[in-house]
Amino acid sequence: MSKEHTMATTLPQSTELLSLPHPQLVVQGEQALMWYLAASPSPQALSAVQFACTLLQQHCADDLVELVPAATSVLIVFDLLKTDHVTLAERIQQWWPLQLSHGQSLGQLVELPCYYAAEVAPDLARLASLHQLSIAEFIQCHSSTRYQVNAIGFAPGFAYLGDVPTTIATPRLATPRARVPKGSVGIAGVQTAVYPATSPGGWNIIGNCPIPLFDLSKQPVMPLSVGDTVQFVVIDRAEFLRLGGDITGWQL
Amino acid sequence: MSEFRSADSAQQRGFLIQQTHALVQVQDAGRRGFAKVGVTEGGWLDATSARLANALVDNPAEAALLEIALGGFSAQAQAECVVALTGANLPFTINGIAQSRYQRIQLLAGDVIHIGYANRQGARCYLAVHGGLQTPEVLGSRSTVLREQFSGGPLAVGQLLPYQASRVYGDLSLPYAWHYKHRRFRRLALVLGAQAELLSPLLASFSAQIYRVGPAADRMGVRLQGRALAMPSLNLISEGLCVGSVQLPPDGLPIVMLRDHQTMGGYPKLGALCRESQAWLGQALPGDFCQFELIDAAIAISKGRAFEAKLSAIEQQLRQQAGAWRV
Repeated sequence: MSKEHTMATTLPQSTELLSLPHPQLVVQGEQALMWYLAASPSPQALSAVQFACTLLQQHCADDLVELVPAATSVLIVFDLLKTDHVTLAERIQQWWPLQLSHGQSLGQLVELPCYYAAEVAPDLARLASLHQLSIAEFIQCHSSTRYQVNAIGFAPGFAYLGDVPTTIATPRLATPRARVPKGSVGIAGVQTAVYPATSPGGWNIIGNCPIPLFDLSKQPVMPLSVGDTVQFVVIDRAEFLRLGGDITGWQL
Repeated sequence: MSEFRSADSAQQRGFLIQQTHALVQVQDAGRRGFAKVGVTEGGWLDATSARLANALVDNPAEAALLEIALGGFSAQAQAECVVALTGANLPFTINGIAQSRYQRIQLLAGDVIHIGYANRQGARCYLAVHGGLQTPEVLGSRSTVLREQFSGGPLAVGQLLPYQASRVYGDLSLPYAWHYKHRRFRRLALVLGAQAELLSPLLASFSAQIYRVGPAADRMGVRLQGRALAMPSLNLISEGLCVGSVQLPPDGLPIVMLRDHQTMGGYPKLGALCRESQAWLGQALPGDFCQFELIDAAIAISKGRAFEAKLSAIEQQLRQQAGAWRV
């Protein structure tokens, strides 16, 4: 992975997070607790989710099996031999309201290179004309927006990024494709994402990111976390190839 | 310190697969800590059977073994080794001679182990070999999750499943009380979850009915058949999904998530099943029946702990007995 395209910059920090009256902790299973941090998705909600995960990891790591952050919640899966719902909930309540201390940062800005061209993006021209934009205007719109990682799921390394400007938001394909090549950058509604592996998929493909989003040989295996900010950087064909991009992905 | 001796043999040590299919998979206790990057836990569906198989061959509890769903598997041991088969009662032979489950068995190089097709006595059996299967570890686990592409993949005829050669003297078996005995009807313990309140008008009808295990049942989840519940229209924000979650999609028929579940979901959930109930679904065959029984979270925890204590006691006992046979 080339350094110049994944510069991680610390974003401005907020000092106070949400104004929910109390933490909403709900039993979710024999060894699971759901922590709702906000009623609806927002950048503040995501910051709170990320901060909640940090607190849990710092203070309860030994009791935890899994933490699954989402847009407004954190699923906490714990080891029932070590703790229980009540003990964990009491602990979490002590942290409320969440206060970020100075010096703590929320999320990183990650720049992802993207090659916007017909040979890797079968839907680029169609989407541009659908939105009555030139291809250059469409690319400008997608690449000048900063997106937040709202959730990671569906497949290993698949990050849901949002929101794309309404001027380029486009519903999913009516019929999903049987095969979308690895690295494809897609739009579905107001979300955008990079396909971390070749898979079936119904998103409109407008570009390709040559940097692997899920790489078992890397530590961490994924360069993004929920709450991070992503911006796509336009690259040309030569740079795409230099970074390991594959232009043959759509040829069978 | 064990009576197991490593036995020298030809260069290739492992099971040479002669017959297999996609639902015969290498599994261990599963992956932890990668749900945040979209990687599911995986791991054996019937943890009790799997752990007892490992204990019988003096393995650590989390050692990788073979989960054989529905039978239809055979393999030839390329070097002597000690094995045990637990779980569903499927036809089990070595060199054509019927064998019992839940006992330690010495295999010699060239022996052929065969698991016949499942009847109605459970879906999955577990074949453990002393030392564990030595397939590559990915993200801290040898578990196969076919959909994720990176962890092993489907097994093929002619493939070698590597193990260390081993030899043991003396018998070791588990009393009948510990053998998996499949029941075609079972009550499933459900801890209510976050959306249970939104779905409360449906609860009475949900817990009163008997559901049938449908044909869409795999390691990811099991679809149940029954009277469809009239689902309210709920537009939920996707959230983390835990193993055992009982999802209610718009068609009003429950889907219970098992170990290969996706990590996030947007369908409303009534809650999640306790481990033993999840394990039963891993053993259930299409046409088996179940009914949900609501259980308080605190009771679920104390039952879970009590069961774990019982299981670790028998594991320990088996390992001590293994020691008594040391030569």
